Amino acid sequence: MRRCRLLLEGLLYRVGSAIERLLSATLLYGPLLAACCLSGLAKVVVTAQVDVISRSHGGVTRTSSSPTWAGLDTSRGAIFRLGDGRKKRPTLRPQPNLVIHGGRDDPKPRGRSQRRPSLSPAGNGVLKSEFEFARHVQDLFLRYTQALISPMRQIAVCNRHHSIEQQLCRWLLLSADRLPNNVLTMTQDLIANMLGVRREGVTASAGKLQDAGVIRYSRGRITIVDRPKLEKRVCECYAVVNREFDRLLPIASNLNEGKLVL
Amino acid sequence: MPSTDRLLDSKRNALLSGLSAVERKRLDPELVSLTLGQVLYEAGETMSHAYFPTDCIVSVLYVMRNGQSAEIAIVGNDGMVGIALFMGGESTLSRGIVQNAGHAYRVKAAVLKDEFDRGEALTRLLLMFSSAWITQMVQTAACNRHHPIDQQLCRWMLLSLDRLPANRISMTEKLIGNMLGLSPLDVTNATGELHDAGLIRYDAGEITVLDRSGIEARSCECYEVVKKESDRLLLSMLAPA
Repeated sequence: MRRCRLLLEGLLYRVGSAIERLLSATLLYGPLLAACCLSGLAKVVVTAQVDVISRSHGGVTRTSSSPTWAGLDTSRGAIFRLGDGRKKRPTLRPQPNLVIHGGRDDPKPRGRSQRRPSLSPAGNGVLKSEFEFARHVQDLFLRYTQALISPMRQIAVCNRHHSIEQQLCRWLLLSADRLPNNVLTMTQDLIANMLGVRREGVTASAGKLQDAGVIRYSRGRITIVDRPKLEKRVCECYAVVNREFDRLLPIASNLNEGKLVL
Repeated sequence: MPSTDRLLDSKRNALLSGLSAVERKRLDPELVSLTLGQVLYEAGETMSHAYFPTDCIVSVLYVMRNGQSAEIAIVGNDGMVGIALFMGGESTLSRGIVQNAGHAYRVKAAVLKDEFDRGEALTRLLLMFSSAWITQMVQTAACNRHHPIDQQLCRWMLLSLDRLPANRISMTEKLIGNMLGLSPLDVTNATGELHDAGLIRYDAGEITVLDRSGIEARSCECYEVVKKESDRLLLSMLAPA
């Protein structure tokens, strides 16, 4: 089972940066008030990222001098805290609670609000836009969840039908897409664990790729020398995953291509 | 832990049974019968309906360019076919095909989306189901890599049986091979082994499970992982919010 687990962690590791980007993108527009019901596996990443965000909002709360705040508490639907301490239930319909699951040891999953409610200066217009924003974020998370299904499905198929070399190419390309340059720091043991294959299989495949001038491998560093060649050798799974992410999450692909700068 | 069997009888679908009468009425589900091999949706196709199986099983497959396929997950009376409808992508890259004939309630895509957007019981139920379903998919990926074919077959049979009213699966070896992405020979060898061990009887395109606990003992851990997670979510989704 250890190998299976590492394989899944590898998957999460790769998708993690996409979540981070999405969440940073949402920060541009206002406080993140969202939760999502992702798979038991994806929740680790999401929870970690949400914590980061609520910390950064904590900072904003302390430094801002604006008298009126709106907070949205996901555990109780929506309650706005007004500057003078009154609480008022909004007349707008609260968005569905976005729920982040409790941990595996948690017998009953429950909604969990962010540790601190996200706060932002609120006027009537802002309140409404916050609601719409929450809706937007929820849509984003759901689309992300659907996109996340794509690599999982592809790995199930790829594990069944494709050669180790093709899988190694897929893994290299998906990883390189999420890194700033073409260098991956990774031992062959780790790759074997990620892919769930024997180390000898990885060594043989990496050797072939190196001989063909596609990658250079030395001391735990893999450099992609000839990306077009790598793309020729990879199975269809790589393109399928990418197309699905592009279709469902155009924001993330714009970020990756440098069209959208945070 | 209370039993979930009660919730999974052949007349009902677990998700629909978790809704109030008003909510069910809004969904306006229509009972349809589905035949073996019927394709509910093709990859990339926008679905017109979501399906809530009662006593049938829908297999979700990915078909590659060369026609080879592999099953990603199955959906029975524990869930719904068509999660892309509320996730926002409208379509998905897999194919949904009926693996065991039977019945399902179908709901128009727009109606499902509206009900999901209300943020009431169905929203929660569908998100919980998606979560359990993703677990099944992830487990399939790991299982395809690491476990011998007879264990995979046991996992597949147990997941199917949990979603069927009887202990029989109507399925030829060729079809099983297509579903699981295995060659017919591999399937024949694996079913032969299980047959010789007295666990199943296979004849005329029908598998009868003779010794369920034997199959459970033989299956890899993947069945138990999926079962535990879906029971956990099923129980919590049917408990009051």
